[in-house]
Amino acid sequence: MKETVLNFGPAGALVGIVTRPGATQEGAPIAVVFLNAGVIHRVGPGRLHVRLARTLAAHGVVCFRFDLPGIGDSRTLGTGGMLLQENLTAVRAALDILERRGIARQFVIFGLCSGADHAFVAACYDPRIVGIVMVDPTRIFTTWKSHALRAWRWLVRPSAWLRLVLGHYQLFRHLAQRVRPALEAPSAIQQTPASPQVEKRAVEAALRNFVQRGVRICYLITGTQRHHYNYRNQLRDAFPGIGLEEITHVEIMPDAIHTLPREEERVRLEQILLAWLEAGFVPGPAPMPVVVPVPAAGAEPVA
Amino acid sequence: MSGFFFGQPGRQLFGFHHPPRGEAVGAVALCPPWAGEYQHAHRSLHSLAKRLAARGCHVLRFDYSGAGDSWGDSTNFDLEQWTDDLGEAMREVRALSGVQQVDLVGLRGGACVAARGAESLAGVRRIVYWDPVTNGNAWLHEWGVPIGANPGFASLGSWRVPARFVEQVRRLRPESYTPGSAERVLVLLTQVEDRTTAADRLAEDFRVEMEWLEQPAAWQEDRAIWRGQVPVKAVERIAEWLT
Repeated sequence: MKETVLNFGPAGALVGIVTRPGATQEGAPIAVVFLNAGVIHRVGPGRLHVRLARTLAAHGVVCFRFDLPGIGDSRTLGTGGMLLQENLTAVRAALDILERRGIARQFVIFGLCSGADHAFVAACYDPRIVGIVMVDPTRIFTTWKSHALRAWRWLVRPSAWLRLVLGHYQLFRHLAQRVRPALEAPSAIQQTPASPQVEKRAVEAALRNFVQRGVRICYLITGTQRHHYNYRNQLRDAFPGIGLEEITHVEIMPDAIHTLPREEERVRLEQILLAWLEAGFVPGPAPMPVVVPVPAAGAEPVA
Repeated sequence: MSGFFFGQPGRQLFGFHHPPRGEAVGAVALCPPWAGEYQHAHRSLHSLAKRLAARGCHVLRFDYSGAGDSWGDSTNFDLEQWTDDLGEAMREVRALSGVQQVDLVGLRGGACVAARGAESLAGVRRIVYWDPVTNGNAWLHEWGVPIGANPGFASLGSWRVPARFVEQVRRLRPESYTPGSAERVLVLLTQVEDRTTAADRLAEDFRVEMEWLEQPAAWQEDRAIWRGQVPVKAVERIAEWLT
């Protein structure tokens, strides 16, 4: 295994580390690129990304861990764009440098938490991305079945009833908190997030695009998100009829914590990743290079 | 600014060099804290490095063996290894800067590594002990290691560390922080509890200056921002004291 530091991007503002298998491989079929989990720098929570990259490299997979602009050792790019736009520019720069150096031409993006969200969006814009690993994405789409399961699990839990009787849920306080903002005058700064319906339609369009392009998704849910994502086929049920079963692999790790701090969780994650990579990314001819436009505000994803 | 690996082949350490703005006035190696404290303090050390570089210092931030981007995993190291790593880092910053006398800044557990370096390594000019861990047992207890336990491995959050490291940490006291060969030492405390317990015993040597600035703990996660806050006044004071 060999590790090298890359200072890349506009004015060398971005910093990342390539981890390669022992035997130098030119033009590996794919490289796995790790995005920051939240604002934790490229080593990952509890050094998770370092461990995964070295384990994957020991099994012949090239990996790249880098810091998005303004995180860890990377400077902001100064594009003046929105945060997401800067991040997408940085992901593109990372894939560019790996391709230009002959390290890989196709990529799997790994992201935990907000990193999973970034991986999803990046895959919409860059056709070199052929797979994404999403661990506990921040946006989970629910179904009637997931709501019913959640309610059922609450109903059969004696401790939940006890908490209700003892007033620990503080229902009235929560209700007041929900009602009060609607009664108060609007603040000077208003955020206008997309409505759930609009957001869901956009995600559905992206997923259809992934199915067409054959972008594979490894979707991992830990115990931290199990209340929101509580059965294996929830993602497919939330977006029925678009062929997600062809591209998605879902794993639920109910006993795991969000950042996978425990040894047994990390071993399991390594096993899942290795099996998924081996099943989905057998070596084949590399695609022709493509020119990827940096998405401007309101840009359309790749068709 | 650039990141790179240095040290012996197969046992490479990650370093990040901040070159000085203008004429060089010194060389500084930053010793990071351990375990989860390292993760949360990364931003503050980066900030300190930039301030020192802006004041004319060559600054090297580095990761110990088994930590950050450096070689190895967390189950096979001890404080001797990390002191050797500091020696490698000092050689590297000398080579980068041409300056032979190196200043050290150690945050939390990193202060312990700096103190060991001042005892055993030549060419240490000044040291800043920034909120040093002065009660090893209490520190281990905070991380969930029971007092008196001696397991083969202990878990410090996500880190599995060897028993010999736990035993070394357990022995940490205020008197672990001597000036060694350094000309001057600044002990900078930012937390109220440390002000009363450790200050007197740390300041017994005439070379030691003691200062207290009430500031956020750089190494503790602020849940609102998912990382440690940058204690701006403390960072400014260290940069000022060293330049």
